[in-house]
Amino acid sequence: MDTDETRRIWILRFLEGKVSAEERARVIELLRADAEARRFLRDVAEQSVMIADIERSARARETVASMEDAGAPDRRAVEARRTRGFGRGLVALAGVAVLAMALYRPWRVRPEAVLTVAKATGSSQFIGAAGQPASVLRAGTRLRAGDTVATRSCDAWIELRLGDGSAVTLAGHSALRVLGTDAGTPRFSLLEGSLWRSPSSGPRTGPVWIGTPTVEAEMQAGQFDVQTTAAETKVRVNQGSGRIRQILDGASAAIGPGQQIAASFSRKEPLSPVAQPAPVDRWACDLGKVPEVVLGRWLPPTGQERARLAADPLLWPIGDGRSVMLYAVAIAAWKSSDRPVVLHGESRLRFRGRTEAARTVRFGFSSQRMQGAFAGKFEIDVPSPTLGPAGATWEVDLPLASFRPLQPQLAGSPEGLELTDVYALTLEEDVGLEINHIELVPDGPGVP
Amino acid sequence: MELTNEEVLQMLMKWRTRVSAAAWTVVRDAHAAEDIFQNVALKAMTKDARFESESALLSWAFILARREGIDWLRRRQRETLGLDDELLGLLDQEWRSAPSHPSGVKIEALRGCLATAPESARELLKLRYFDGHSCEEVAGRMGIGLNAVYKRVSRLHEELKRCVEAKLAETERAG
Repeated sequence: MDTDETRRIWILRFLEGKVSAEERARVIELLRADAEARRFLRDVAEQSVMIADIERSARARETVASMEDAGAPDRRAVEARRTRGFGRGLVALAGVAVLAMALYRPWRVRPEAVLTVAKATGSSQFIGAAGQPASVLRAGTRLRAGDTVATRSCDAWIELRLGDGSAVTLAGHSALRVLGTDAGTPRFSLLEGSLWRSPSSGPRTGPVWIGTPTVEAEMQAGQFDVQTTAAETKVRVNQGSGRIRQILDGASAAIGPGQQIAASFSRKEPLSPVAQPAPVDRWACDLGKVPEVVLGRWLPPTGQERARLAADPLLWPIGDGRSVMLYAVAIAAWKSSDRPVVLHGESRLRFRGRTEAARTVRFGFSSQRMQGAFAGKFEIDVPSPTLGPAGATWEVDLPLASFRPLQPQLAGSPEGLELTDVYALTLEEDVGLEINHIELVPDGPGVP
Repeated sequence: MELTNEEVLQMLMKWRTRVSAAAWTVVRDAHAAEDIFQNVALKAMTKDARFESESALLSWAFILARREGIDWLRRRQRETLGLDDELLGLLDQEWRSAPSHPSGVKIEALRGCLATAPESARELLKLRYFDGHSCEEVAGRMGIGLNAVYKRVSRLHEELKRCVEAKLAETERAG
């Protein structure tokens, strides 16, 4: 090994943090004094971001090819969804440029922006206060009082930034309306779905007020999540505190770190916080108990199956006037389990169902950090030969480790994350997808 | 004369790889570096400041990428490398002064070089830089020794550098 190579290997180990304090000081000194060492570090940095970019593009092409095999005809439509980076950034920034220029018009008096869209993935929608709709939400869009944003597909999510630098994430089938600010406190209405708030990295994260159909939540800083339907809301606090007021009877209760409060129109017990329960690593969605269906429609029972969910169509606008049709079934795990469901890499998701025609089926799930923020979505495409003949009931056991992360920057693996919802879908064509059983099976000893 | 929004956007896209790489030297995560670049671009388009020249824009973009990188580490309670501002500033300066090609052209050159590399080399680089595994984890997955992984990664970076430079020179001659 020559001296130059030895130095390069030091730098590689240094970049991984695999050096002692003494070696670290020597590498820093080397970088300070030696232009060739700095040149190598710059090359490593440039090549690593380019390699990641190339791999993302390659994966996008593979996804398109696999879906085309299954009869999805619009290559550009799917590729537009999968490819992040240059193209998406350019489009987003072009949108920002137009927006920025529009904002400079002095004669436009508009209310102050409360939120800015930082990222938007999947099918999302913006409805302005004046009623103007936009089928594709772009990074940089500023949201003001009266504006509504919604995520409309299983794998959609939006990250919104507040003025204090903290983030609000919406995911799945969710809708949020901006109500404005009151004495500096941003106010929102979560109409349906799930919302996560992450504190800012700055010195201060401010309070927020969130209303749902069943509660009003005044949250002081910190990290929390809210999940709601038209009749039920669950608020969990991991950092900070808050006060929850139940709309049904006006009762209110304080909530602190590690606690949760559930409120509903049918609730008989007094409103009170409880400790967040310990997680479980086994979960089965009992369709017979009519769980919270995010997407799908009930079918009459058959001799073999008490309950079946059929995929519902969902038009997914992807910009440039083009749309992709999805046929999806989605279940909210948080509504189907009293305890958080923890995921392990060696666990498996088991789906039982059928399709009337042989097509690839995409299975996926959403996750969040245990007692933390949204952690992204994971998907896998299962080709029809693996599922079995059309019309017959199939059962697939899918190791979680084989699901690809859609947002690897949030979490590269599902290990240790909490399950929030599960879905199955086909693209472009209704092939009669039905799901009659979903289960999470741990591969080792379960969490007690 | 201030740069227009369109000019700012074009310049940032041209320098995308290097600004992302500056963020990478702080966070050492290619996906986070990409996100940081997008945040930098977003702020360039929406903030109140104006840029008089490409040089002023790049100086601001490199510094912001680094700061966003440090924030990203803090949010995840991860350790920094210990590179001080002076050294990071020196790296940025060298990035700005080294011969540059538009990011898209350079990526295409690297794509061509990777296409001719052995499958095992591509797999190693993917595991290390896309999947984010440490060299130790890569060694375990590929069934080779840790020192051999470091040596291969070091040599691959050098080979890719030479190959990319040759392809860029070829493109310039052809163009």
